Amino acid sequence: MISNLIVFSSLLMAGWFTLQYLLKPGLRERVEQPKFAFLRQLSMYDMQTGAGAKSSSEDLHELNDDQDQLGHQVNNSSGETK
Amino acid sequence: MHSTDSHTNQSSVESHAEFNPQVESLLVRAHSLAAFATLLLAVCFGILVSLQFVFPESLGAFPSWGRMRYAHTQGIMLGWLGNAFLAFMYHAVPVLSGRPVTSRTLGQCLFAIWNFAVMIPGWILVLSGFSQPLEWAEFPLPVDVVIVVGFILAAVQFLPGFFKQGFENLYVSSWYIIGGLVFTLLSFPMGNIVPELVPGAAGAAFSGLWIHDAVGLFVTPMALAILYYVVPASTGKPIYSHFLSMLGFWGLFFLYPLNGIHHYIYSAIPMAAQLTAIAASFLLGLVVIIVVSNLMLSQRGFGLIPKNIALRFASMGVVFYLVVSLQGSMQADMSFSSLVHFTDFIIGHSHLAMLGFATFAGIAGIIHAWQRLPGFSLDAKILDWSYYLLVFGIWLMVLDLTLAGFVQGALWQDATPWIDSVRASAPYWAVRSLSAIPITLGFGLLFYGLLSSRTESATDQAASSGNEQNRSDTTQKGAIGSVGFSPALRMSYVAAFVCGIGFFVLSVSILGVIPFQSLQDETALLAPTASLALSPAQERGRVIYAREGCAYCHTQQVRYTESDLRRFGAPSLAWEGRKDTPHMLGTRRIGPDLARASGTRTDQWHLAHLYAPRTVVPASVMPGYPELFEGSADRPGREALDLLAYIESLGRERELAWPEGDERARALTDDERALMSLTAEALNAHPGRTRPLGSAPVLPSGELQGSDNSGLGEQLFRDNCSGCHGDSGEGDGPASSLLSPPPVVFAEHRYRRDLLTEILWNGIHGASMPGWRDLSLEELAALANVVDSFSLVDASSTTSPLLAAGQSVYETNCAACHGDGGGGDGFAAQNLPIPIMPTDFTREKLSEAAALRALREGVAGTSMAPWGDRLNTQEMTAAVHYVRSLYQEQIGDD
Repeated sequence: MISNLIVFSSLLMAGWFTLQYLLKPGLRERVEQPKFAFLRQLSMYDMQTGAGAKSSSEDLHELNDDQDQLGHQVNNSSGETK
Repeated sequence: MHSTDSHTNQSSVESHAEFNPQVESLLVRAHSLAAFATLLLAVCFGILVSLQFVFPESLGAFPSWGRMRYAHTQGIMLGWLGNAFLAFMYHAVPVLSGRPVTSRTLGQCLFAIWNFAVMIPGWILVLSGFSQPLEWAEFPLPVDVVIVVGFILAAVQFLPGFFKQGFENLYVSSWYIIGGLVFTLLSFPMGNIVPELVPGAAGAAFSGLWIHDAVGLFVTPMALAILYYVVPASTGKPIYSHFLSMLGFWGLFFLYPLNGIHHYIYSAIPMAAQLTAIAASFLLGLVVIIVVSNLMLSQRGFGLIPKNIALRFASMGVVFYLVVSLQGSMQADMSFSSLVHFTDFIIGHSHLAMLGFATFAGIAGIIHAWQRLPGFSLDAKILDWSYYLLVFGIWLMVLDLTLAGFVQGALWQDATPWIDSVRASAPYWAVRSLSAIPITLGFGLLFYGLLSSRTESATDQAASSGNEQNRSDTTQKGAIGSVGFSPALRMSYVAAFVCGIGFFVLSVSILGVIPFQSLQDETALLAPTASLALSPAQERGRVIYAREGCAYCHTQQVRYTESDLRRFGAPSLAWEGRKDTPHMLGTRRIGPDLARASGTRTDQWHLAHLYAPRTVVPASVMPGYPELFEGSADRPGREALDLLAYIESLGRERELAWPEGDERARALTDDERALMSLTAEALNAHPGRTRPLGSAPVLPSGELQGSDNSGLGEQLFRDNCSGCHGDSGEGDGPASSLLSPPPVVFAEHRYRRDLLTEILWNGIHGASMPGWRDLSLEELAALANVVDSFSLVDASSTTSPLLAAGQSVYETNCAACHGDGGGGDGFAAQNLPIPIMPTDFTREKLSEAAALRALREGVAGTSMAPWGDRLNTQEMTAAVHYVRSLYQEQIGDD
């Protein structure tokens, strides 16, 4: 039955990706990377145009902190995994 | 050393990618203003459409209802949302990709095409009657071709930046923009062109794909791209989880295209395809919960009503998205669908999707972009007011329509007359129209806010634009923050992209091509070999039916549900629509289904109904079409006659399909649903059609009705009978002059209760009097009491010295039709040129004056000829006395 196939394949794919994400810290960092990059691009754009509510340099500092934190978590968890 | 370190090293090499986010401010502004201008026009069309339900007589000066509805929905989707998304993309794509869009000149061309070659001609054409009757695809094919060109130009304008950037660091908004543009390019031609080539239920399958793809693959991806952009940009914090956002992205693009056929549950489309759509709809609900949770968690700490106005609109957009998606999943449930499908619940749902979720996202995107336009600042107070007005108006409309949907669904499940659901909907439709006030004010304020946005002085602007020019001249280097990826991983993104296209092909195969093949097989198996082709007049009528949007209020699909079967006859089989290109299945019922309309009403009734619907159905909200006539209902123009011919053709082929008996058809198939259709009790013809007098149930006596029913009969008479018979039964209702035979003057007739019951139950075959079998027995009894009460004819037996002479006249001249005993059963009764049976004098007594008039002048519209020139006055008087003496009071009659 096609409907069963769709349900099971969807759940399997989602489950597999979730497991990969949880078990592989490197993948986790890669997958989460774009959200930091995007905010950095936004800050740079705001700095260039003088727009934006927050100070862009503040944003960039916060971003770097956030990303460092993620990197630490990844390193720690990957160390634990090994 | 683990991989993260190697990526970091690579990152240092690749991190200084080109970053030149030159935003085309002029195009942002142009598309934003065009968006609001088209929005206000589209809302005006919507208001006029809604007012039709409240003041059905007052919109004569405007184009017809169906045309304005076409203009409304296309205006919202293409004019408002199309322009809003383009405005947002002109701002966002350079920031997301780090590169300017392809070309400013291309942008100007795209703006001109979208607004001056799509919207304006599209509107003019549909309002002039050139359209296609396909949901969300109403602009005619030449305009569709221009739309495809527009989408191609949009892809050329916005996508190259992403390809140059590479997929390794693509933010979720970028994925949605790429996905939305590419999928819409694929699905738009499929949804707009294929149903013009593929007939009937198979065409509806493709049409259903587009109905959902328009929302799921065009509107939703763009709206989510905005939400994922505006939320972090407004909070200054990254979204909660990019992984969840990508899980949502792939889930949506896999499942959304598979939803399409949930618009046609219980239809003739193969059940396997329906179940696939139902399963995908439920799963989609789960995916949406993931997406919404992610977006909600990304706004933590900013409150329910954030101060940032763009974030506030985005935040409410997320709430709308959650509600509308859960509604969508619920509607796919078969039992829930059998209750709410075709009702205003669906209209509320689609308004929540397009006017709630997508519109709030679009507004958030525009406000965010305008806040960043050099030299522009928006008035916060105006935006505040606009927000609260829109939130109030949209929730009011959606809640109101949701309740209306439940009321309509419940009434349709009962065996009440169709018009009861129209009458019960009246207060809800009034509230819906009132909700347009805050909504229009909200949109108007937003438009005013943009138009009156404060700009810098001319010198400042020149300096600002000079700075912008400098930035564009100088290639700026900036970190896009990329993490390096191996070639294999890059290939995986490409593979994923190919997968995305594969999802589209999969959905078209499962929900379009395979059902098409299956329906072809069923048609080949069951369709009658002697096919009834539409006559040229019927073909022309079909074009008029499509042009005026009749299919948007009258479906042509009897579903496989008990309530449909009871009301409209046997469920529609696949072959019934095999000549319908494009299909007319419809997705909404304001009026009843017309799949079996043939033979349910007389031509005169239809013409009166088309010319002035409330003359024959006082509570109707249907628009009149006097433009199809030459000044009055009894002077139909060619178009009115063509439309009538088409309506009379509906269901006739099914009725005549198996003259040798349905057993032969049943023997051909083992498909359960086909067998259900072929063994239905009310087989083939409309169950509401008039029947010869004879059988009828026994009505409860007056004593059984109790005091609760006082006034019920009068109300029923006013609602259902007064259009023809007049308020006091004098046969002088507004439609009376249009009908032949004219409606009965009840004061001049006395019906025996059993005959009156038969007439109410079966109608009068050959006349415009329909059967009222959808009224309950108590209601019929109350109605019969009212009809009785109008009569001034004495029921007691008539005595006269002229009886013997009258009998002689009768036997010589009248008995051939009216029968020897006056029972209306003479030998000639079955072969009359007009199939209205002669009066049964044993059960119907006329006043002396009425009987004499009928005898002298005949009865128009029946086979009763005038006898004034063949009988003298004495003979006629004697005959009248005689037939009045034949009346026999029913034993036990009150």
